[in-house]
Parts: sequence; C-alpha cells; structure tokens
Amino acid sequence: MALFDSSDGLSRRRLMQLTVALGVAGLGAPMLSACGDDGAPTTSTDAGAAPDPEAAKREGALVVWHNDQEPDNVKLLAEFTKKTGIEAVQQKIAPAEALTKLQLELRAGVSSVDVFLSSPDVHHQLQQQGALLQYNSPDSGKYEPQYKSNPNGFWSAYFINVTPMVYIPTDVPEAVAPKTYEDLLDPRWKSQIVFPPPTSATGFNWWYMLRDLLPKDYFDRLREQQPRSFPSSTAMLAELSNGNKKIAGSMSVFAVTKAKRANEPLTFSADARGIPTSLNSIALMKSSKRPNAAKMFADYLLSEEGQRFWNDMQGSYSAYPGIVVPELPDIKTLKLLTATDFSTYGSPELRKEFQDLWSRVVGLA
Amino acid sequence: MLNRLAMRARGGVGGALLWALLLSVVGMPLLLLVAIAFNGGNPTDIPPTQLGAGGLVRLADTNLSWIRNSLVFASSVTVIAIVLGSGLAFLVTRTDIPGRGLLSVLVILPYPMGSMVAAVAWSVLGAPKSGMINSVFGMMAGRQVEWVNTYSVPGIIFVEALVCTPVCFLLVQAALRSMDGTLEESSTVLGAAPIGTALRITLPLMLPSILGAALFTFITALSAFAVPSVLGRSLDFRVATETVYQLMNSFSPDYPIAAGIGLVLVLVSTVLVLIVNRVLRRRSYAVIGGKSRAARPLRLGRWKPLAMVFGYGYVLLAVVLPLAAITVASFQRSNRFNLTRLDWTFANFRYVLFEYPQTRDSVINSITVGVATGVIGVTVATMVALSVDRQRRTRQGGAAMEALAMAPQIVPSLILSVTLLWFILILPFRLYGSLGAVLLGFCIVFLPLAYRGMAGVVSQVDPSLQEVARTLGAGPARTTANITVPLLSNGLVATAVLLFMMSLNEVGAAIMLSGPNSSVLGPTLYNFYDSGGLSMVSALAVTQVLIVFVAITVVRRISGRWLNV
Repeated sequence: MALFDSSDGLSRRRLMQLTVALGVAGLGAPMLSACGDDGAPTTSTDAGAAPDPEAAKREGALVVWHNDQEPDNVKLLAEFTKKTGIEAVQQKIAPAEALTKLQLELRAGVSSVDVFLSSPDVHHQLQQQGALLQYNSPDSGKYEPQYKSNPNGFWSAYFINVTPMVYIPTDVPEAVAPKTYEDLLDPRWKSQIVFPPPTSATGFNWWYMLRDLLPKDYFDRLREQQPRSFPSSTAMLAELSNGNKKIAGSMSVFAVTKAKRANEPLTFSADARGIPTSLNSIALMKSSKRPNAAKMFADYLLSEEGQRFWNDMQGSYSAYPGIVVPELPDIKTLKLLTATDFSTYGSPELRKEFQDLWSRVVGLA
Repeated sequence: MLNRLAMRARGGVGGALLWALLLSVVGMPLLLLVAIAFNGGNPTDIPPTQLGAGGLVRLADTNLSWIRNSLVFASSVTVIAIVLGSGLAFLVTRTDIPGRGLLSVLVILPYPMGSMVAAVAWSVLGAPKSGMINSVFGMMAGRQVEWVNTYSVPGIIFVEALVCTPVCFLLVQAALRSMDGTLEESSTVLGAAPIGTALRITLPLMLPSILGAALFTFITALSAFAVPSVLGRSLDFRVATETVYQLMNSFSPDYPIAAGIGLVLVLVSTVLVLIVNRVLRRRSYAVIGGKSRAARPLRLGRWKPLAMVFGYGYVLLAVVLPLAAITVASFQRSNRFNLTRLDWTFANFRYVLFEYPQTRDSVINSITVGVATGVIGVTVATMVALSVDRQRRTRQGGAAMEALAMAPQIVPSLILSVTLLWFILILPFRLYGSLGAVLLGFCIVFLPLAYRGMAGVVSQVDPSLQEVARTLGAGPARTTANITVPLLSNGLVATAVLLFMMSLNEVGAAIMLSGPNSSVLGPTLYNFYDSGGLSMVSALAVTQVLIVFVAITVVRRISGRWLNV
C-alpha cells in the first residue's frame, strides 16, 4: 500500500507542511530560520572551471565533513584559512552517519556540506547518484590512477590509511606479539583485542581484504576470542594505554606515528600476506553553496604543500609522490592490500554481510 | 453573561491555536515515528514509501537482549536513585544533619553537570587497571588491584544512578516540604526512633511522590545514552539507545527497527504510567491540611555519623571525585597517565579554549539555545498548563492535551531526534542547519519537563483573581501581564532555569540536529571523546562544568534580585 503516492503526494505533502507550519509559526521559527543557509549557491560557477579566489571569500564559511581526528582537521582548516583567507568549519561525523544524514538532506534539497572527506566507496556511491561535483585540481595529474576516481575529478585520496595490528611493546613483548592474523586466535589474547566497529569503513576494509585470504572459519574463531569494538583509533588506543586491552587487530598507522613523536611506546606488526589498507578521499558536493571555496580547499589539500602539512601533522602515508613519514618504514617495503574496484566494494549487500558478521564477532548482536 | 461568553469564545480560539501548535510540533514527530516503524518498503527510506509491518517483524527476529538489558539497567538505576534521592531528601528536609543548607545545594550539582561529564569522569576514576581509585587502593595495598570497575554492568548502573539521584531528590523533597510535620512529631513523641519514624510514617505518606520520581527516573534511564555508550562499549550489554544508535548509523540504516524499538519503549512506559496511576488511586495520601505546619527537624542522635556518611558520601562520589578526576586528567600531557606518574601541562586548556573553534561556538550556541529553550519552553508549557487547568476547572477534560504535552517524555530523545530531523527537513521554510533546528528539537523534548513544572505552579493559583480582572474590563493581554505572570513568576523562572540547565547537557536530541554552524556542547563533548583523547576531553568537560556553574550563578543572581528565586 502506497503511503505517499506520487499521484497525490504533492497534496498530502502540502497538507503536512501546512499543518507543521501552523504550529511552528507559534515558536517564531521563521525568524530563527533566517540563521540557516538559503538553498542556492552564493555565487555561480562552472562545475569544472578553476575557482575564483575573490568569489570564494565572499561565499561564507566552507563546511567540511570528515571522520579524521578532530584536532588534526581543525589544524588543517586553520592552515587553509591562513593560506587563503577563506573561513572553514568542520564537523566530525562517522561515515555511515554522514551518509544517512546526507541522503536525507539531498532528498529534502537542503544539503549544507561543501566538502566531504570520506572513503572512495562512499564517494563512488555518491558519484553514481550524481551528487558529486567533477573537478580536477591542478595537482591531480601527479596522483597514480589507483588514488583517484575513474573518470578523474570526483574523488582523490588525501592519505593512505594503512591498518596493521598494533600493540604497546612494554605490555606485549615482541616474542609473543602477533605476527600473523591467525596469532590473534591465541587463547592468551582472549578478551584482549580491540577492533573498529561494524559501522567503520576501516573495519569493513579489513574484512573485505582478508576474507578470502583467511580460513573459512576464521571469523567464527575470532568471535570466540571476544574482541570488542571502539569507534576510533583514539578510543582503541585509550583501551591499550589504560591496560584494559592488549592488541588492536586493526588500527590506523598514524596512531603509531603520533605515539613515536610523543615518545610513547607503540608499534605494529605486519602479516607477510599483506596489511589491509584503505584510502581516505576528498570529494566536493554538487549541491555545494560554496563551490569556489570548495575547489580551493581541494586544490590546497591535494597540492604538495597541503600534503606535506597534513602528513607531517597527521602521520599517515601520502598518495602524493615523494612525501615520506620519517617515523614509519618506507611504504614500498610494506605489502599493502588495497581495493581497486569500487563498483562492488561498497555494495549494500556486502556492507550488510559485513555488518551482520562483524556485529556478532565484536559482541554487538 | 455576554462578558462570560466573550471570554469563553476567546478561550476557544486560544485553545484551538494551542491544539494546533501541539499537534504540529509534538503530534507530527510522534506520527512520523509510527510511520517509520510501519515502513514496509526499503528500510533506509525516510519518508517511507509503503506501509507494512516488515520492520516490526524483523525486529522480532533480531537479538532482543536489549529489552532485558534496558529493563535491568533502568530498574536498577531507579532503585538506587530512589533510595539515594529519597534518603537525601529526608535528611536535608526532616533531620538535623549538619550543613543541611550546603548539602541540599551540593546534592543537586550532578544534574547540571550532566551525564556526559559523569561518564568521562568515571572513565578516569573507575577504569579497572588505570583508574585513579584502583591506583590509590593499589598504592595502599602495595600491589596492582582492580577492585573498582565502572566499565562493567554494575559500573554503568552506578554512574547513571548518581546522575539520576538529584531529580529524585528534588521531587521527593518538594513533597516532604509540603507534608504536615505534626505526624512525624507525634511518632517521635510516642517514642519511635528516627529510622522508625522515617519508615513507618514518612515513607508511606511520600509514596505518591516517590512513585512519581521512580517513574520519571525509570523513563529517563530507558533513554540514557551517554553513560552506557561511553562506559559500556566493551560489554555484552547493549541497551535500547545504543542498539538504536547502531541501527541508525550503519551503512544500511534500518529505521523501521529503530523506530520499532522506540515504540516498544513507549509501550513499556505507558504501561508503567497506568500501573502507577492505578496504585495511587486506591487510597488517599492527603498530607496537606488546613492546620498543618512545618515540622521541627528530627534529632538524629547516634545515627548522625551514619547519616553524614550517607549524605556527604553521595556528594563525594557524585561531585567531588568526578570534578577532581577530570581536573587532574585535563592538566596531563599524556592520555597514558596514572597517579604515580603525573606530567602537568596547560596545553589541553590552551587547545580547547583558544585553538579548538568548536568550544567558542558551542558555548555561545548552547547559551543562546539554552536561554531560548527556557523562555519559549516555559511560555508554551504555561499556556498548556493554564489551558489544561481551565478545562479541568470547567470540567471540559484537559487529559488529552496534557497527554499530548507529556508524550515526548516517553520517547527516548535519541529516537525522537531522527523523526525531528525528518520533521525539520519537510518544513516549508528553511530551518535545517540552523540553531533554530536545535532549539525546536529542545523545546519539543523538554516540553514534558516544562509542563510538569508549570502545571504544579498553575494549580496553586486561584483563577478568581484573573476572572476579577477580566470582569473589571482588563483584556487577555493585560490580565496576563498584570495578574497571571506576576503570580507565576517564581515558577516561571525556576522552570526556565531548569530547562536552561538541561539543554546545556543534552546529547541525544542534539546529535542529529546540530551541524557545523550550530554545534552545541553535548554532541561536541561526545564527538570529542572519540577523537580528542582523555586529557583533552577532560579539559573540555571541565570547561563545560565551569560554564554551567557560572551560567546558573548569573541566572540565579539576576532572577533572585527581582523574583526571590
């Protein structure tokens, strides 16, 4: 039974809106709504054209959604503002939550986000929906094809997220530290392992890249180890630091970089078969009300200068050639397991399969 | 006669407008919740495109341990909070416990501090291996001990109960203050000990207020999100709100199941309300008589040390230790700290106060929304309370309007926030992304609290004063300005301050409605917990507590000067 048929949907929607409006008018909502953005871009721009810096400054504060560590993103935006004079605000939002919110916004035609920092599979999905702006930054030609969308211009990787097994060597001696994924099944690590949650893009990538490499009963046996999930590298690291847990089965390697810079013990181990690695990518929204500012942000973040600033501060490997992180081994010495075909990678069926399985593994179901 | 008819006509128009307001801003989101629960099509669709019970069928097929867990959690929290709240209310209202005035203020502080601050503080205090309390015990025992663990089911129940106790205290204390003290004095004169008097006289007479407080606490605990979410992450103990959060924030969100969980909680809460009402109807609990007077404080005698341990022990656990923990943690250079290895720094505060832009924005936005929620929430609640009171006095009902105003209380705010998001997105004017969206959400979520506060005040006002003013020719506006508002002034300000405090700490309702340009303190602290690290999040928590305390002090000073609040 259709609840809102297209034939009469307009009138019902109108009726609903009128009813709602009548009540909210009593709260003085029209005045408050003036605080929000209007629905149209503040300046016009050709989608693929180079940004106009003066127009960008007039467009208002750029809105950036991300799932990075918040202090890192705050510093990045401050540096961008210092370089360009363009104000920018950030909102940390988990990928799945962001996608949910964004889909609701797009359906209602009231999206507020200009730049969406997420993962290629999420961006691929939005690209298929026609929600992304196609724009080639001046430096995008320097990135290898596997680090950007096909066709080019919808998304580009702004860092390479290597996610090995991580532990504190003072708590877990090198001799007993896990060297392979099967080592995580050692009874000594029962109730001692942390992982990303079922809603995590990193967690999904870990499962996706290893599911055919590991024995068929691996995840059932992993479940018996009673690993638990935490929503971020910071939260997982807190569990290791306070001694509640011993091993992170999969943690972003920037945590190791940051720990080394703070002279805190933290290290990682790499299974010879490879380390699941995902990309964190930047995409511009077609619905952006600040298209010039959004393009300038992409230009900055994907430039050599922007990449050096980000990777020096955040501590991950860069997709920009020639940028290294001194605290980490050369990326060429690591065997990375990275997805390349995003048409099937982020399909709803695979996501569902992972979420159901992973919820059981980490005790959420 | 004509004058009375004119008044009734004006009341009719006003009543109709009030109904329209409530139906649109309260009824519509609740209707949307039902619509989502009965979405028979794609579970990610909002709005639903097909009706059906598929979501509820899928809900029945899922792991339903959240029902048992939620009931265990909410029941345990309620029992502990009622024992603590009622005991504390009795001590400060009815006994000669030393420092009664100070204690009555200190006991309330955990309420404005908020559950998120409590969760952060007890993650510092009660971690099994690195927690401050175990560290102190370990130093005393000369070995590592794990005697306290707030990352456990009893731990999250304990912390949530500490947060809920002040509400029980306030509700029971209000009734105790109104009670005829001669009943207890008679008991004492006849030789009963203080404990005997409390259990045999005071407790039975307080049953309605205790049951009311228990009901309020149970429903609040069912909606609790911050404490189970922060301290219960590594447990096989998922409560309803966490399950909903997972369902809503997955890559294929299943909104019908999430809304179905909301409906189950509504059902549980409704059944409890009916049971409590039935229990209270069976006998009379009238304790305020024409000749009643305030009681002299009961002399605690040899029970005094025990009473002081009880009263000040709560303050120690709910106020002193949490504040001390987040203060120490906020000045540490590393998240990996313990009491034997402290490394002090101001860097976290420098970051939070001067480099992290969300702090400034969240503080300004939270105070703005808090004040607006107080003013608008109290205005609407007063209009509803006056209308319900008038309908009751004229035997025209009022129960339906009251039920509608109270309805948001039985829907967890996290679940309500999804329907509010949809509701705000379909508005014919642009509210989404602005502070107005958060404000509208808060006004709806806190309407029951505001109504509860104002209904009690309105019922104490004699309507004949307003009728006299009208009879003498004053219009509705003049009557309201010169008669009604002055009579209600103390209650208006007290309720507004309460809404202000609640809105500063709200996480669930704001988490979906706030955005980069409308960040408020609750979600900012929650998000920062996941990415800032313990030391930085403690600095933000300390900042939030200071803001709340300063704001409350300022509001009390200003309002007290004019209104004796």
